[in-house]
Amino acid sequence: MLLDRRRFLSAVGAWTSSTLVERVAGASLARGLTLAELLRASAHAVVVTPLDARSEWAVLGGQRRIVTDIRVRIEDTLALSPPADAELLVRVLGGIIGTVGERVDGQATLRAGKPSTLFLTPVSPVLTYVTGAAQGHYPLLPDASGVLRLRPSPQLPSLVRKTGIAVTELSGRTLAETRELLGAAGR
Amino acid sequence: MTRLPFACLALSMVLTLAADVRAFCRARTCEPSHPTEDCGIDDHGCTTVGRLLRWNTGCVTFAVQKDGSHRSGIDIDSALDASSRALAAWLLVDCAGKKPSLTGASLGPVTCDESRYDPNGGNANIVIFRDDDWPYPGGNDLFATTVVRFDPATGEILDADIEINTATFLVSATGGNVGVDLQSILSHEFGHFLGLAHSGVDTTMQANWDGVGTALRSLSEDDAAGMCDAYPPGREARASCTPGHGFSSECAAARVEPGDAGCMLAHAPHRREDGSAPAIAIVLAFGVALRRAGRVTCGRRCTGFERMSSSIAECGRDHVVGST
Repeated sequence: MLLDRRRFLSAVGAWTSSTLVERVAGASLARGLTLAELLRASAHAVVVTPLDARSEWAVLGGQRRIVTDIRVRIEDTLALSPPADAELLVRVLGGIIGTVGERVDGQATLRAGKPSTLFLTPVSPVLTYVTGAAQGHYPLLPDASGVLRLRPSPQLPSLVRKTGIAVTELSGRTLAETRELLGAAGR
Repeated sequence: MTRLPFACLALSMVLTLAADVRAFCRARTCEPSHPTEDCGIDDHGCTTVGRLLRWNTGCVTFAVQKDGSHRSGIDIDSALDASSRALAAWLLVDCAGKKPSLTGASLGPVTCDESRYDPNGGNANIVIFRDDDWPYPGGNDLFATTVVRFDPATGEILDADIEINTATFLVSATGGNVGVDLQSILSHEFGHFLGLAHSGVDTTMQANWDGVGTALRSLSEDDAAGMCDAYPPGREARASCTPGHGFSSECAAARVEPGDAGCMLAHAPHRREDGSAPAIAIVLAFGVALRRAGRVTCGRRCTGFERMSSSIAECGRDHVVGST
């Protein structure tokens, strides 16, 4: 039996949206953050371009861990306070040093030279972490007309709570729309 | 004529769904957190570059930190039981009528409360409850995290530890209505422990779960397919059940290790990144660690990146270090 056109397109739409939602989720289990929660937990909401990076040993909670510190250039501040300097270090967990690699799923995956929007939690004037792991990372990719839009991070944690969260609110937005949304959410 | 676009669309949906039948992802040695690494991404979001991660032994062990979680009221026996059940779910999946070529064993409670790997001494793959403090800034909303340590040249998993965030969340060992189900969390994390990454469909490794109930305890066909792919029946593997370099219930002592850069760096194991003072320091040097009367000197001028990170590493000037 053939579906009529409206029902067929409706089914396609539902299938497509469910597929997209599933693609948004990812590895380590995390509570999905709302936009207001993401802003409250962050000190900076900025557009950055990663410049270079290095992996090194660091101590977190008394444990020696491999981290990757990524030097980023601040291009724009979308909300909250602007960073004091034109460059920051963004620390993500995991990396490879010599003969040992450490993998931690759900981390932000910045690409050198490719702009991203980041929500950042600072731990010192120059060192920051991405808020909510990859929940605070949105690569900026051009749409068909060349306008940059926020996309979900490729390595998102698997989010427990998927509706009304920042990832779905921000994905697909332009920078101007994002600035407006963040302004409204922060009020 | 008007049916042709529909037919094409339907065919494309069928083909896409068919591709989704096998949607699990396996972790690889390519490290996606490094911005200069292009790890490739396929249609399912799986990385495509690098060697696949897995345990090369035929048996894997785990232990649980002896304190359990006072904050969530989980004692060591309950924690061991939940961990055993969660791991067993993976080890007992059906691979076309056979079982995966990996067995498991519990080594019981251990005193070590740190996630670490000692390349020269005893180790343990530990489940640790973080009651007092979740040590990852910006990550308070993670229920748990698993760190998998591997050999970048071969993809062999050397060690894996699971940390449960009981500082933020109330966790339940009984699967009741109060608290998040421990075994569900562990089922997901043991997937990472075994070398799996997220999946493209609704599975334990791609949780469509609202944090209530015990649904994640049950693995899906896709989870099982991932496990069978990593550990196919009949795989040749070392029979050993012992963790790398032997089992140790204690945390290894801090040691001096060669760093990855020419500039001398210092790290303080007990220094908090909020600026509190270091108790002791580990010295990382280029090739050989210099230890003279507790002071080290940067071996050369630091690069721009190293100067940028100088407030963390204190690169480029003398450091007072304590016992190593």
